[in-house]
Amino acid sequence: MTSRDDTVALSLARLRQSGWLPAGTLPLAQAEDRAAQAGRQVALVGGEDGTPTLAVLTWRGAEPAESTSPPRLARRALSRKATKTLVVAYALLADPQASRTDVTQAWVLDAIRLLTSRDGESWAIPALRQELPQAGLLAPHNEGWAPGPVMQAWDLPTREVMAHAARQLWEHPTWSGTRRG
Amino acid sequence: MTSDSGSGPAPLPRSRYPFQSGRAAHAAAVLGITLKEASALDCSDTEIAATIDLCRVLADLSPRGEAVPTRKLFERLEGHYARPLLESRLRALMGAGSVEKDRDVLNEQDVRLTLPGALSLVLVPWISSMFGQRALLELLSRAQARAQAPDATADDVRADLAELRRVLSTFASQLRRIVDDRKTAEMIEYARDCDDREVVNRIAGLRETVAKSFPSELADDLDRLSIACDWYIAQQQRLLKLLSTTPGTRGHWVRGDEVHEVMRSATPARLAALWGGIAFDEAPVWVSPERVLTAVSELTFRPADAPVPEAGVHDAETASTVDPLEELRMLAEHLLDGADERDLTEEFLVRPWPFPAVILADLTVLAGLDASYALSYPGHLALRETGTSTRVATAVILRRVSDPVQDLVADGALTDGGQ
Repeated sequence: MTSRDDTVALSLARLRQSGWLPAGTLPLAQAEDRAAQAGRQVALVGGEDGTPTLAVLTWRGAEPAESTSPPRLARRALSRKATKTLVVAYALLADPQASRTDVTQAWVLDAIRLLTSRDGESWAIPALRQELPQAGLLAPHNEGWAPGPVMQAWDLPTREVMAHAARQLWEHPTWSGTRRG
Repeated sequence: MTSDSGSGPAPLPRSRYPFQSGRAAHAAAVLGITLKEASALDCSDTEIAATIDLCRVLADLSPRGEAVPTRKLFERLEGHYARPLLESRLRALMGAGSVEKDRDVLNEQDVRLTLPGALSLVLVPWISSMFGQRALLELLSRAQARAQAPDATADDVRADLAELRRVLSTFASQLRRIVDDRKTAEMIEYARDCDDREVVNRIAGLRETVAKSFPSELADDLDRLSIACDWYIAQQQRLLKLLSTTPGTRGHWVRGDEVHEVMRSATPARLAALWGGIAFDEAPVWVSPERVLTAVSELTFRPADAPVPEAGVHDAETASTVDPLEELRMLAEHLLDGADERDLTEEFLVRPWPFPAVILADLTVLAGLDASYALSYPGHLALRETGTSTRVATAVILRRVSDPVQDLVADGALTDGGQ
């Protein structure tokens, strides 16, 4: 294996491990070839408004779902609490009547309180600060969080499920309270 | 031996090969049932003929590889062979792996032909390979040569086409099972020889030759061959489609135990792609759609309003029910039976349990609510021997109080209270 191959293999390994890398540090053409051999693809996100362009490792076509019966496919699913936080954060970010570029912790907690009449500090804060940024689903932005590289490179089925979830939240009678703030 | 077309006996096959290698020995063991020379399975011409006919009938009865009840097999062949002979041959076929049970359970009556069984039908010295498509191509060459021969008869060619059809059907059934069961090692083994275009071209060539030599006589046979060929090609394309999917996708159906099989023969590049598909791609976090929907239902949960009880409505039916106090009075009157006082001790000793307790409870309630009745307890226990056991009851006296006020005055209660 040549040193060039080593570089590509190493970049791809880093890409696999973290899920995304700054596009500038990656030998893109070779990485795309290697990813294609394993049924994956490299998607480029960002690059607007001075944000760095990121290369995200995604699946070719729809991301495969977990399968517990043969043929088995184990997936590291996002935890229930982080998923709940993600749904609220996504609904806030994607709300067409609010046009936000990022969400703050206070907005997310307010939305949870409006929707469920309960506090979500105990589970939403760890998800916002650790789980979701680590998974690349949210990225720190100003005082809050903006869509992360993985969220920007979501495949169509995931986008549809999340859009459906967001619509349900927008239609909730108390959701309008989140737009006043 | 009879062929399916009803023509006379065909010459019995003979092996010319001293199988030396392990693989060839395996083939010989399977195919040996049709070899008169095989000492371990030495059998008569009739037995060999019966064996071959069993395989043929099996192939004919299940062109799609479904299991066939043995009863049906025997019914078809009993006119030609004795039942015990057929049973012993079927047992030998199953022992050799040429025929297998539909399910591996006791008393299973349904059987199907396996690939070695189908090959044993066409065991001819010029077939050099017992595996995959090469055997089929050799069989096609043989049929083509027979059809092109100037002295070929329609019966000969028909018999060849029938054999070819059986082999194609069994190959296709075998392929379908391999694909359905996701047997990686066998899929790779089959796919190695796989070239469906060559089979299609060769069968088209054979059709042309046969149609030219026997324009009308063999049209039906050719149609049946085409159906078998289409089925075979369809299964082969399923196999190729599965194998040609991207390595990442292929990783999904490679089961744990099959990974070891692949590791034995795969090149480093293939292994890298395979492990890339299996091991590393699990790392990214996956947003489970199911969890998203659960989260939404939890976030948008709206408790149903607690039902408000409706205002009561007068119901004549319910209202007309007997006053419970009245029922208690009736019970007391029944017990008093017209008298003003009655000792209930005897009643309690005689009545079966739990009536004494129920009656005493009812009367206690009555005495508390209605001053016209009173209970008094003389303070002793009554015993009654009943052969094996002894009943015990508290002495209780029920009394009617004719004028409660008078009674109370008589007892001095009111007088005391008035002072």
